[in-house]
Amino acid sequence: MSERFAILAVAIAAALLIYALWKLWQRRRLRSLREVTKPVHLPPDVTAGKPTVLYFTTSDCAQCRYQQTPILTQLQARVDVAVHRLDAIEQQALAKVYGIMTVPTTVVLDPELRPVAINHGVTPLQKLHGQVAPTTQFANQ
Amino acid sequence: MKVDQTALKFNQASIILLLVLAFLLNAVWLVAFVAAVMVVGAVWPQAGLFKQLYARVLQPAGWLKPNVIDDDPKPHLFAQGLGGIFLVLSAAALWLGQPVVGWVLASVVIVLASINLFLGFCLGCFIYYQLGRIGIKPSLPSWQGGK
Repeated sequence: MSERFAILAVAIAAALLIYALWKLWQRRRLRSLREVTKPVHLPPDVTAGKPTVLYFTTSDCAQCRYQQTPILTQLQARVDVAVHRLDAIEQQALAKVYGIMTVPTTVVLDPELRPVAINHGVTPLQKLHGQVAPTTQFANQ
Repeated sequence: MKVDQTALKFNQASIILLLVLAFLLNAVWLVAFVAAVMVVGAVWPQAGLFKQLYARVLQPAGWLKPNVIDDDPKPHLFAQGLGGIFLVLSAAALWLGQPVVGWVLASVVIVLASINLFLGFCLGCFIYYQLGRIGIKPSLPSWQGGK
């Protein structure tokens, strides 16, 4: 049984290491994306001046319809943020830029359209608010 | 339709805990038991043992609080069914004297349930949506209106 405990411990350690590496890779990717002023594939109606959320979805995404869309509506009621709904299938080039792996994915951009966060999966209101609110204050200054 | 996220998370946590215990104790019967619970719960949602335990004991006792949100239960049931099939194969491999194959299959379920529980990404649901995109909508009569 001690052998099995050891295997389990190694597996948990490996999982934690993979998770840490993934978070590190995400942070580096975000940093490199921030160096690009405006991705060429960004739709023309996405303009600088206020915080923006790029909301990647698909027409048949139930989680988007039932969960993420109402959350983004609530977010817009709380803070002055532009939400752009994008079809991840139709906007493949842009989806590739931000490394979209699933829907819903929300990309939070600051007023200069630099990415602040990329959230894979359904993102709660509090988390999105926490990502958008500091950029709103920055925009008001 | 509504889905109780707490019930889903309790279901995932129970699966992870019991499968880890099964591995530590080398208990093939426990893998088979979890497989049966998952398959039965996927085919007949109201009969899911962990969901029943949550709904009849943990929630009334106030130990877990419901978090009911608008969602489609079908992708979650599909994901559970997929996990159940993996565990049936795992139990079969273990019984046939193929421990490596058996535990690798079980570990796939543990890893995916953990990713769902801790990171909120459901691979089974993702596969369900991808199948939907090519016109395949897995469904059972018992899934209509089931949680």
